[in-house]
Amino acid sequence: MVKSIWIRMVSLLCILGIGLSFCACSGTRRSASMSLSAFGTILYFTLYGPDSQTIEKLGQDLRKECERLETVFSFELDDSDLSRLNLSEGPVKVPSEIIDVLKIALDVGQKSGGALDVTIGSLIKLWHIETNPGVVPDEKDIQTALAHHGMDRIVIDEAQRTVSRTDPDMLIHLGAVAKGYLGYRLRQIVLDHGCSGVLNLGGNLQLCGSKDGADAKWRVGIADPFSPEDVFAELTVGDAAVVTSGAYARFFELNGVRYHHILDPKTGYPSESDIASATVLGPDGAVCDALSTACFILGKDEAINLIAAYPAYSYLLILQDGSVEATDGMEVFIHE
Amino acid sequence: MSDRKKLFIMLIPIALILIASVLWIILSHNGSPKSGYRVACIYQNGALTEEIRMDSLDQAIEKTIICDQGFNRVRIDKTSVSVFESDCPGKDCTAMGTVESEYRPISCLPHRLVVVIELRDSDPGLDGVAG
Ligand SMILES: [Zn+2]
Repeated sequence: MVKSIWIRMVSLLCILGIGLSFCACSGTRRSASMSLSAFGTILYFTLYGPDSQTIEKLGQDLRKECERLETVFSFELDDSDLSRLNLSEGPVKVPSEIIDVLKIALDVGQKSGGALDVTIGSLIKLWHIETNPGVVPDEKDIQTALAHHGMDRIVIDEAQRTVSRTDPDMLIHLGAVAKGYLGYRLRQIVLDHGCSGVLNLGGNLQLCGSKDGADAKWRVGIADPFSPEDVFAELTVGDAAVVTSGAYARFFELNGVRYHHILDPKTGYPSESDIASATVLGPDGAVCDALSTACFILGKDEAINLIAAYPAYSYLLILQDGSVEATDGMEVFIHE
Repeated sequence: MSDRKKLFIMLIPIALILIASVLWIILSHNGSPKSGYRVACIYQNGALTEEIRMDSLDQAIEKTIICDQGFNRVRIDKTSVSVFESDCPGKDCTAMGTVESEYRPISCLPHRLVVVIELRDSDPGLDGVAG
């Protein structure tokens, strides 16, 4: 993943133009790579399709969808739908995407006993997670922020398509779910074009269709949390999302202490558990995203219990001692 | 000649053909090694602006990439890429250090720059890395 959350989104309405670099055909399918910047991270896509025109058109459509969803979910852009909600009093009409994501977040939030909590926007702001370098906030400020969080402060009216915040000091931050949701939406666009591909959304992987347009699976690696440049394990996966949460991708160091970006809503500080990285695989990238964050915060035993409530999803936990816990029957190859 | 001898003699060409086919399969497999190569790709504003074949580099090259917001200095050698200097705020790009993997693009968000190693004409091994 790492759900490196929308780092420095401020600077970015800069969804970049797309560039496609076409390369050799594999069989009769063409492939192309493309990079763009959105959601405060770099998105890097490898696309496979029948011809270059189709892939080029697909690239344009993917870019448009990224731009559109950024104006929905951005915590920093003043005029995003989420910011409108965070500034509002009373019920606010929101796009259906916000309701979709909130419902997933609230479900995982509730089943994880609050380990995942999208109402910690004030806390995230305090820690300057979006900006570099970070600061360690005052204990008093952390406690104040913690006094204004809790998912019972969000009221969704699906019929009216409105959301209200019952606490004006509570801010919603969807960074732990929205990137996974983006992958899930982009996947449908890839398939609608008769293409397939690997979407790398700042470390979240969304695999779309099959590499050869038939039934070939994808080979994906899981970064080594102790040496992120290396691959720790390999998996063979079909059309699915693979999201890893770890403490190694976004952090800052101060007086010899390392502060990473995944905050524990119970303590207000970067989470500490026996998990070095939590990977979740499954059909919906938003659910994978939410679950991987919650698992990372919860620690091994509770993480395994949590995933058991989501039968379509599987996990691979790399523990702090280097050992691995994975869903029974998962075909995983661990690098020596 | 006994019937057994006749049978044996008839089997020889069949055995030879079998051995030859096995050898042919093995040799043709080894005879066409994966001819892939790695390129360092530089994307600016999302567009691929430069592509440098890495195996043809006898020594490291350094490039200064200038954009409206400032500059980045990129080093590329046979095996790795790095952004070693930048005037961007935050300096996330230089903090990423030297990257040898195809799975870790180096990005400078303020300067809208991505430097990434890509594989060409080759089975890429892994299709992606999560994390
Ligand atoms: Zn930079």
